[in-house]
Amino acid sequence: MQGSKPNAERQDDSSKSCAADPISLGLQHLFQSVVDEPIPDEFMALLDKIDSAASAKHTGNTPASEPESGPETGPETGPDTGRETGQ
Amino acid sequence: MTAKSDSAAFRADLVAAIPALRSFARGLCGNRDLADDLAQEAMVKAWAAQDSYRQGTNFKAWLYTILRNHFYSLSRRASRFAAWDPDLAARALVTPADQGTALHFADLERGLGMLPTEQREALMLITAQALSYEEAAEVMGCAVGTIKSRVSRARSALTQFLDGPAMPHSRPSPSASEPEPETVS
Repeated sequence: MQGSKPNAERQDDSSKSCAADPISLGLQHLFQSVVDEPIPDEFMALLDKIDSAASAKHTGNTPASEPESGPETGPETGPDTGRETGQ
Repeated sequence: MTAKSDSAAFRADLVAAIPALRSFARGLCGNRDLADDLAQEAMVKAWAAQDSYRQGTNFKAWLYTILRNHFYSLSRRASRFAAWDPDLAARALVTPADQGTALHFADLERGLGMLPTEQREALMLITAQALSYEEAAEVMGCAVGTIKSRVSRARSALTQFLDGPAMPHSRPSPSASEPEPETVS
């Protein structure tokens, strides 16, 4: 009943099929503007923290995939990771 | 050794997905700062949960799932996340576009804000984030048919909003925009 137009929007043909559809086009433009923004430094800084904490752990412990039951990596990376709203 | 190289690969995937993650977060809550907090928290959670990612599945969809679960658990506790904050259109308006389209973005964004979150989310995942219906269904934890009907309802609500009679605040000053004189004496 509702599918009057085939909505096979995938990565490649989306630009073509959505060209006639102002809503899709508008949304894509709207969110592309965010995608195109440079990544804020805080993201990379946060990743670096997690990364170094994790690799220190890996070299110290068994390299086998241990089931880390719990978000250990998060809280111990430091207080200024923007996690004040969590847990 | 594989643990380390797996981590490096995971990190690279994560970095590559940051822009998409930020844009999805922005679409969920509409506010730049809240969205970036969300995206960073999702990144930390994703890192902690990297063993649960299944190779060969859509990585972005997996990240979106983590982010939206986090978003909904936060918005149950803090109402500031529940409200759509119209920050998005303001930025889109800065991007080069012809005037007609730029005006359209403001309306589109207002229309987005009127949609129920789940409809807005389904519409974003399918159109802006280019997920398949199946992937979107997995992200939102519902049936494919539910996604289709949410997208469909979101589209018709938005179309109606954009085409229909203007809302009072989308035409700020009728005197300027409507030169048509009243025929009543």
